Amino acid sequence: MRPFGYHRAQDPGDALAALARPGARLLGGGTDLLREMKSRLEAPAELVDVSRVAAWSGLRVSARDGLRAGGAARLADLELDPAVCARYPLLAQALGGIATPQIRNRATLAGSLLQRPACPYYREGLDCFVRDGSPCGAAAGDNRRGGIFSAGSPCVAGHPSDSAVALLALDAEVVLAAAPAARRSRGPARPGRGLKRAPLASLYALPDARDRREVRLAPGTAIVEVRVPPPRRGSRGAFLRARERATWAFALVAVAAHAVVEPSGRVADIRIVAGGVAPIPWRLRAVEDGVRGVALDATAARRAAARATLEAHPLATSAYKAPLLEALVERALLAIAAPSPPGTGPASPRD
Amino acid sequence: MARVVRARTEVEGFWHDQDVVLEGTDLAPWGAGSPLTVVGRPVSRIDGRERITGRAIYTHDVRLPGLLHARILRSPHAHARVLAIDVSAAEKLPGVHAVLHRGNAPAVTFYATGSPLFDDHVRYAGDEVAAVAAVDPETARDALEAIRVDYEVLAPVLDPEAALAPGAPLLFPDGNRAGREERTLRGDPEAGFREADEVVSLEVRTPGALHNALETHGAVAWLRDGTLTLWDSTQFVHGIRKSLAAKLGLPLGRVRVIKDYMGGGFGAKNGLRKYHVIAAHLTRVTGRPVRAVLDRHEENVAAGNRAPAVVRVRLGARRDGTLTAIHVTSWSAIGAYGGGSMPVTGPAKTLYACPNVLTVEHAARTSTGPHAAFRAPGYVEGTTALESAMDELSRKLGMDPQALRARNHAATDPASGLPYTGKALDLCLKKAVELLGTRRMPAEGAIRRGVGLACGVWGAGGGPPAYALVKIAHDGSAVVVTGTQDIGTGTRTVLAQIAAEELGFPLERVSVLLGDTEVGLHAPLSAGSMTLASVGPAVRMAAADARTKLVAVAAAVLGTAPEALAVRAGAIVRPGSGAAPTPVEALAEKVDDFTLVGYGERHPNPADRVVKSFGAHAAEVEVDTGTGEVRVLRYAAAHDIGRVVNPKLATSQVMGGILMGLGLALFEERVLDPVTARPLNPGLEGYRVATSADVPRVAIAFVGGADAEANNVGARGLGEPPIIPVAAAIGNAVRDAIDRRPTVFPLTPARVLALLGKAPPLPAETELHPRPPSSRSRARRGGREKR
Repeated sequence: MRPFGYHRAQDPGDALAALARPGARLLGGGTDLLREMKSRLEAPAELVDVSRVAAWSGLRVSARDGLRAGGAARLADLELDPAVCARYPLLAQALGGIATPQIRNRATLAGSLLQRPACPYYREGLDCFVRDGSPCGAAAGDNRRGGIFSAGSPCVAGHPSDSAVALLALDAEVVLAAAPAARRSRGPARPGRGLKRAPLASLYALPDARDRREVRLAPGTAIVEVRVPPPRRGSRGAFLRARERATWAFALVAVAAHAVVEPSGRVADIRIVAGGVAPIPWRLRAVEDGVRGVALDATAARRAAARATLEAHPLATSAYKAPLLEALVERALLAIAAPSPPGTGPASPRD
Repeated sequence: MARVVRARTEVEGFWHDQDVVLEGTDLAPWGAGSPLTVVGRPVSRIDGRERITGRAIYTHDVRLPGLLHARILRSPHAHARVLAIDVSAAEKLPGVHAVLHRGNAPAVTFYATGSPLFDDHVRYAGDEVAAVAAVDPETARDALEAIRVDYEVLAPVLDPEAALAPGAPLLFPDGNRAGREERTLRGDPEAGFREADEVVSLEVRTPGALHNALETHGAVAWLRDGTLTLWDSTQFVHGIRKSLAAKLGLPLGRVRVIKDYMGGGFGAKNGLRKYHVIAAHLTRVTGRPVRAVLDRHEENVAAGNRAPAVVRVRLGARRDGTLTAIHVTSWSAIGAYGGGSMPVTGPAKTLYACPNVLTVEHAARTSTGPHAAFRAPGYVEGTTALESAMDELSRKLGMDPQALRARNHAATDPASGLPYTGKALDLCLKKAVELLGTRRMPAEGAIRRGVGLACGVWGAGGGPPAYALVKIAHDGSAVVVTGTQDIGTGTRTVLAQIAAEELGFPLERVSVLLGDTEVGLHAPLSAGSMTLASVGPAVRMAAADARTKLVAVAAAVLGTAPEALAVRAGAIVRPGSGAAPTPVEALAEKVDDFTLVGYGERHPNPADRVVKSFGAHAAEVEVDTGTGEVRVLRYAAAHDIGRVVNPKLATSQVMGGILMGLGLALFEERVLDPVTARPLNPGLEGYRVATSADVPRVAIAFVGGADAEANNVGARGLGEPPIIPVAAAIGNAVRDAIDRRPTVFPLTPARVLALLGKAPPLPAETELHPRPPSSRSRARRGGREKR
């Protein structure tokens, strides 16, 4: 780890002012950033610790505004919140299976959304486009943790964030605050000023020659809040993942589906997002199109799930993720078609 | 009278004949008639409190005044030549006290290959290139980054069969074969296969598995007044002293090796490594204590592994299940510097009665870190293959897998024809099946369930040389002094139990001093499941000697004949007399303070017997045929290990072995880049050991009872047996669940989906063929790379 400065921010203004300093980065739980610093992938000049910034750590669920969670809220706080569990079980299921309880006690929501590739080629110093522009080593090498929708991308990693997958299915947006970088420290920023709302999806883009980062957050910007609309009548969700051991493993494939189902059983609207199958969270529009307006039953679910991989171009070692994705999508659709009573599943059986 | 005696001992599947020094006469084994009160009790670890309260001092905890931190520069390339190395910038960094490199390294050789400390030819990604000592670990790391190395990248090789074929990239000029091709022939296998009604052929691939002991390899070295003291996380303090003294040209008496507490070894810490010599040399040149502790990444690339193996099994059997022929050929990819194969074909030679057996073992040097012993090395790989094939045979014959194994029960050791000191494998089988209980209904939908069975055998007799003292103080306390070590298995506790039993003392009056060459008497390495069976009998003998002396003192003080006295619960008693017991400390009121020293030694195993431990495991698994996930639902294990000195610790050993085997069966696999052979998962996030969330319901039992012939304690080894059958039992259960034979381990979702025909196969490490560097790096870096 390179030497770095440390600043414990007291309030949003203080945090944003500190973030404006050259080489400064926000520190949430540190579960990804510190790891990157230890392996010298990142070397910030200063860490601005936001864990004491109460204004960014809150959590509120209301019928009118839906869920508003601070960027510095801990995953464990969200996952265990009774209102989140009751109104957004999909999100609670997603968060409750991430990494380990220890990590969820530390990790923040914003940090979870911003985590960098889990791809070993990125982490272990092998050829990596995202890290240094080298031709992707995983494309020619071992891509068992990588994606199947990588055609046209110079990176073939699988997206790691279950939080992002779940929140995208819930059509979340983020509230961003910009550090007063342009203003060159004309006094501390005031909360509420310079805030900008953006769809969560706008944070992610496939790496390309112009910008190799898969996470697109402008330097000096903080995710201060995540907003999820209130559930609509007929809202149903499911989150499913497959992994290589019962806990402390990134999902090989994660699927979040959120639908509005009419009393007749017809699906009025649906969003299905998958993790682990592309460098960024992957919206399965072909499946959505196959389901929208349809009354879901086993046959319809199977037929729609088969559409999940229509556009897939798996590599030899990631090809198993195609049947895996289809299986999880089918199960997610079945869960939406026949929701279980609360407390009986289809919760993750393992955590 | 001191004398020299020939002893024959089996260690990790290899037999050794040694002449050992003995002085006394061994005790008769505890017979069925001797009721034991401390041995056999499920007592908690006597050092448990120290461990869980954090007061136990591990090698990693040792901090000394002026301590320097060593770090090792390792090759990023799996195969390369070091063309040039420039350490000048590193040497100039403030805080750097020494930089070791090929230009100034001590002339010490390593491995079976006699390689230097820093070779010009690096043979795996992680091979040592240079080392530094600095005031803190970060400065040391900065120094490593300041070292410029010019490499010529060469083609690596991973597939052990390809490595032995003509045209393979050569790691050594005389070829990649390590040791000889190990060939054993018994009877006439060809005739045996002709006699067979059914023949089963199976190729099984087991992964490169990483030990991942909680405590990584490491040592703290301090040369003071001509004596080198080394705190080391090792399974063999006396062995490290001997080899380090030889490497450094120091007299044995000038080297002291200490290992108090240890966070696991599993075979990887049996012997001397480069880091020992680096630490010792750096303390010599800097005059300060030096700490050389590997980080997790280094641990997983350079500190040893279970060599990935390819095992081809062919079994012939008559319709009634009787084996007529076994033919097993194995290839082990033992890494860059391994000396030879581990006994992969051992199970084929020793598990079942079969008149016609041909086994061949090949060991190939490949472009990975050198392998090391890893909990039942060879036998895990070999049993996974053999027991998978036996399961397949039972299906072909339409025979119950338990009945097939019982049919081929070996009444005498198939390899030597000699009788066993004890064997209750048949009881193990019955018990394991009984403990697993009745089979559940197969689950509906995508979830399938199945059960599987597997057996294991392991030479676990231990043997000499091992020596111990037991000291009794006038206050009625006793100390066991030995040169063995407790690598985390509970050695302190079981030795205290044995001494307390023989002394007639309460357990809490007995302490154990071990893990220090300066204090302890010679004892063997703690490997091969032999610590208890080797050191326990010596401790018992020492305790008996000390007790005899105590009784003599008591007889003099009490004015009675020694024959009339005994020691019970820490007091002198006169059995049958009705006289009140005299506590030992009461003797000290009559005589001045005293120390009584008892001496004991391990005597050879019976010459006309073989000493083996046995086990049978049964598993029930659930396979999600949609996702390929496998989950073990229930597990049962029954072991025959002779006398169980401490059922609590023994059960914990079995649980640990099952968990480690479950990891090998389902999760654990070193993954290498198929192009460059560089490691992809050297950390604990990417290399997945089983977690507590993966633990099924486990039932554990011990059968067979005390071994009346093996040694005076009646105990055989247990450290390794519990891991041996696990992957086979789980693989057989998966076979039962999905009607497809798993042959490539671990059974990850990718592999299970491939088995189900839903995805292409995921190659094992032993199937990888890295590209020569010309085709991959010339364009960008001309086949050379600066680091």
